[in-house]
Amino acid sequence: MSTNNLAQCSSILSIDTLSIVVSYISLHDLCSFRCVSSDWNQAINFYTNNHHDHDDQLINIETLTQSSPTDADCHNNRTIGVFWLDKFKSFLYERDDRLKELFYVEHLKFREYVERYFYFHERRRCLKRFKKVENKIKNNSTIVSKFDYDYLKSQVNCSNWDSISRFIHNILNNPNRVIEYVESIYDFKDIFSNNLIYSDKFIKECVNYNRFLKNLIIYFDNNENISENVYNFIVNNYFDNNNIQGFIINDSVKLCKLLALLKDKSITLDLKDYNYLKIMLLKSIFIGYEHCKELKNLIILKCKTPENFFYGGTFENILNLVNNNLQKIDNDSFLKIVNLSTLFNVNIKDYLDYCIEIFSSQELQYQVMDYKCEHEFNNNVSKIDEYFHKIFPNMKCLQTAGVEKYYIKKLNRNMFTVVDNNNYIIHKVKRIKCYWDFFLLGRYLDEQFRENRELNYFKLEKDMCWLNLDTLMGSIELGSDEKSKIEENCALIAPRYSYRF
Amino acid sequence: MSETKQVELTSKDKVSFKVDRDVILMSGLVKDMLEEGDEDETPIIPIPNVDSKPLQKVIEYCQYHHKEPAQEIEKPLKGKIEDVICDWDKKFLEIDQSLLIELIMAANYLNIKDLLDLTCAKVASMIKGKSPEQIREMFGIENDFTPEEEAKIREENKWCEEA
Repeated sequence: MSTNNLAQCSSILSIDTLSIVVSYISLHDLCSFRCVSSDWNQAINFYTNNHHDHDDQLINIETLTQSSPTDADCHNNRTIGVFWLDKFKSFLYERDDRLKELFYVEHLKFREYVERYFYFHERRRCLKRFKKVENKIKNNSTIVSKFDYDYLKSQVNCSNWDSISRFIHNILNNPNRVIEYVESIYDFKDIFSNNLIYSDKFIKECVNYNRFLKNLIIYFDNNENISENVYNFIVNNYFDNNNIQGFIINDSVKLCKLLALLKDKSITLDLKDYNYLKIMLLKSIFIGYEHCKELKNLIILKCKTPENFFYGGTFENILNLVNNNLQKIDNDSFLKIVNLSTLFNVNIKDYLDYCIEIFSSQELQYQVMDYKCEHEFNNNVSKIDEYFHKIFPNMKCLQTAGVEKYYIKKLNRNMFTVVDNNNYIIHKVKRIKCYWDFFLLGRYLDEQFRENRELNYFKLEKDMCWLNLDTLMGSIELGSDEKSKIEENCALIAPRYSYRF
Repeated sequence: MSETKQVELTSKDKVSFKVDRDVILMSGLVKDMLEEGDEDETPIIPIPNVDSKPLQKVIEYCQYHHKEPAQEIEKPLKGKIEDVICDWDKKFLEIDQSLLIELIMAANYLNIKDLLDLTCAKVASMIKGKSPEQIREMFGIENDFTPEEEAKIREENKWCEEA
């Protein structure tokens, strides 16, 4: 056959016949094949559009996203699938940008796998499977993070900042993906560390970092398991922006932990946005979180205008918090609350009145009274005395005794005596009941003899802190040998004991 | 021992070939035609679209492979086609390009899948690594793309060549 005849023959090869030829060509030859003529180009389209009903090949697209082919795999399976890949690419382009990015990130790997698994007749099945993977990719942080990392690395290496900024933009628009980004942020920093020249677009996206951080906080708020990376990221990136606006965390433990990390940070917090934060801070005290002490210090250091700490309607919230957490309150917690209140100039009078009204427990009343002494009565002895006598009638016996010095001696675990400076036993106290009774007694004695600073006090020891004023009894004489023991065992009851925090 | 049933095929150029019925049943076209006819007669089947030369090659292929079924050729080709086909097929394909094209058309017309696959794979093997211009020259194909159209296709498919 002559060349002309050959041309005649080949030109009349039907498109469906050409499409069979197509099925045997490799990826490398795809472009050349398309460019031969319109018929040959159509043959590819014909093939991809008409070979999708066979089920003899399973497409393991999940595998595509999770593992890389070996070199041997690549070598042995490097062939067509190209048409499918062509369609695959179109499919990706029509869908969300993220998948498009993903495709580019991993396109070599995709191609290798497509060549291996995606024969022409698999389009419908592939699309179906791919849809599953699409969802999987969206929901699986591990997979995406890996892709993110690889992708960023590849883009940074070629200084493709437009692509990077687009990528970041996509992430910023997806709160669910923020966290995985944070998890990898330190790796990402490695990527960027040697690439200091960024495009305008990239910088613009970085400016939107607050949006990213906001998403991060949302995630932080709604998830139980937060990694150290996230905490560190927030501390290192969010607080450095001197902007705590919108920083709302529902979990006080998280908040405490987070703020504890901030203790070495030099930042200024805007208190007008602090209402929620301070409520959570108080709440954290109730649960006795280990960092609450650091928190207190932190707040002192960070707050620009502490007098506004309880500004607004938050006081009621605090009271509700106290009320709702009453069972959890112990003495230390209460002290911390009040101590914090003091630090921020809370109107403690309102608070105390409220507490007296709503708290039925005697222990708490004692606490309230103790603070009334200082805050409401301003340590006015006569007012305190009057107030105390309303509640503790037995205190009169001290007052009327006219003693100048009072000592408390621990006789045993459950027994105390109150003695004067001549070791004359004024009262013998028994029955452990309330820590606060002891404070009140000490306070009272201190106030009674405020001007006489030579008073000797017993040392306030932990197991001495249980004293019930209701059980104060008449004086008991001590023997001479007991006097020396008192000297040994006694220590100053300092007025500072209730302010020792 | 019963006599083997035969079929008479008549090519486009009026050349007749008597072929065992079992052999030519590899052709889907012939098979369909025989099912419609009288089995007691020796049917004469015109093959108006195929010249005698390619038809002879088709018969040759069927005579061999109706006893030795052809192995499926892996898609896409990993390398040269000669690496994946049997020696008989290799020798069978030692034909000029024009006959190869005719053979493809014949296989397509007669609906002989294995032969069609073999010949199409041969073409794929031939164009492997060739530029569009070389392919056109090889098969005498006229480029009906405008320069703009061709450039666009090249650009759209550039990623394939980066492999």
